[in-house]
Amino acid sequence: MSLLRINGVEARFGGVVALAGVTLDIPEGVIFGLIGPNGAGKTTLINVVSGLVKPTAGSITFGAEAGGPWPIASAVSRGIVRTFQQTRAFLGLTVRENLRIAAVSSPDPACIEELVDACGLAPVLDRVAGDLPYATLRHLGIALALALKPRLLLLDEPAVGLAEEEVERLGALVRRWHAGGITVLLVEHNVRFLMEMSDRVAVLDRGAVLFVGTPAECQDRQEVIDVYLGRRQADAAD
Amino acid sequence: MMDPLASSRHGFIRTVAAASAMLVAACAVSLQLNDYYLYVVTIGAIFAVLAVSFDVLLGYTGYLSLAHGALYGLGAYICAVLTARHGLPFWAALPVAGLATGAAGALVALLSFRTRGLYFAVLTLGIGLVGHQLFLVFDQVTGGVGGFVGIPGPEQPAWLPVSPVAYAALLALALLWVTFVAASLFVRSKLGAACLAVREDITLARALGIRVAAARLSAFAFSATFAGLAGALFAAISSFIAPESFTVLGTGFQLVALVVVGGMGTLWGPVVGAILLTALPEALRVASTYSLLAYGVLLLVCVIFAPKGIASLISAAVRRFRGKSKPAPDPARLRREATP
Repeated sequence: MSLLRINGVEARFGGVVALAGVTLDIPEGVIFGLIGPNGAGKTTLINVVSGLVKPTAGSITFGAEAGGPWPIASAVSRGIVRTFQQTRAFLGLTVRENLRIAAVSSPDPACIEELVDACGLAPVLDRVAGDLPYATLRHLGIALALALKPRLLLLDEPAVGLAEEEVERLGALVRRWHAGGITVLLVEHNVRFLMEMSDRVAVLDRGAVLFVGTPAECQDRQEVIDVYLGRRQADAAD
Repeated sequence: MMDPLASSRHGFIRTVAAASAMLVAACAVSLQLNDYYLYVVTIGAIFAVLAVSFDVLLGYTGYLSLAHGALYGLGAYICAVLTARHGLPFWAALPVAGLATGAAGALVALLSFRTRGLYFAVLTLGIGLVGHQLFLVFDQVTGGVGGFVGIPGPEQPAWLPVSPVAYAALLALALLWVTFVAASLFVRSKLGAACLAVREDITLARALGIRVAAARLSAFAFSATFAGLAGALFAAISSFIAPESFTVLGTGFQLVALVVVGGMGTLWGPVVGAILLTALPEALRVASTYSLLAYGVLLLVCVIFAPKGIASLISAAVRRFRGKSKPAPDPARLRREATP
């Protein structure tokens, strides 16, 4: 059964078409990967689904509820929660204060104790977030989102800038919460990480859906290799 | 593992205990002072109430409002009209003035919906100027430029055998205690956490489901309520008020100075700032030529050498003292703990 249905979503910024009629079905209980070259519209799609950007056309159905996208606060109350591409936490506040803010909207503030443990935040609870190492800050950003007990978690490039062992820790964290019943929409440039994590993958190119299928199918498709995977491999070789 | 959100309740109990001890000490010392210094204590405490209420808005929510002086004036005039014209007792007029000013503060929040930073400051500058002009123009109600005279003082209970001046000082200190405890409770509440989120990063706050408009509205209403209470007490104690006490350039900017010099976002820092910046001009009144000069120099010195306010210097000194006074760790215990 589909948890999120995106129907013909368009987003234009002046003359620039960021999304040109995207239609996607994201089944409940999966990790759904979204890849594509820079400027393909991945972050714009997350912005639309999370209510940060209003689309110029199209609609969203979440569970049985049509009429989306909703403003960001309403999206959160329905269980659609996002993280940001640029690491985002309340940098001037301590980790404890950050978590206290997340607890305001959390339907189950008791889960924060478990999150602190899972994200390795216990030793840094009284440190100012702005002074944390990058990887810990990334985990704090994800902990803030998970504290809201989302039904759909939108992760926008969570592994960017992380070392390999930190990416593995992140993967374990996402899998642990996914096993608890959260559906995940994962945007990521780290193709290996995304393919390992995802049950299904969609490829976006120039604001349109190029392909949807399993990770194995995705890696075999010539048009995906042409527009994205081939370019990534060439970039890696450089 | 300890509850990561647990520190709040213990912190609040410690804060109330410390504030209560300070209140008792301040009352005991005040009762030894002559009438002139009692008046200085009263005005200092009223400004501290204003500064603490202003800190909720500026320090915790991140909004620099220049309308606070006008809200203070609104509370004062509401109390004056209710007691002098309608014969209401002070204790009935006080909460009415506070609540009505709180509603006016909520209205400011609604008017300034979506504005932030400099735009918000300029918008509230306009509200402050309009408020001050209304106090002048509606002279049938406010007494206009000549002021409002004959405001009845707070009724003194027979069981409290102190002079009226000492009673006024005790009332002002009690209001400061109430304001401080209420503000401490507010900033530790869910609304207080939401206000901090709005101050730090409004987009992230929204993404975490924080109702930004509700947080702003509550901070404005809370802050204005206590500004109104301060104004009402000021009117009743002074028995005379005039629009010049509630100007943007006077009270409005003075409040900014009190909070910045004391230490934004600490609640107790603005109390220190208010004590310092109201006591200093009074102490230097004998040399009035140098009074303003000393005031200006103090502001400069504080902002240059303690940009996070006097509160940060005091906190650092306390931390250093605690660090030194902590007994040296027992090496045997450390070895035991290090052994798996």
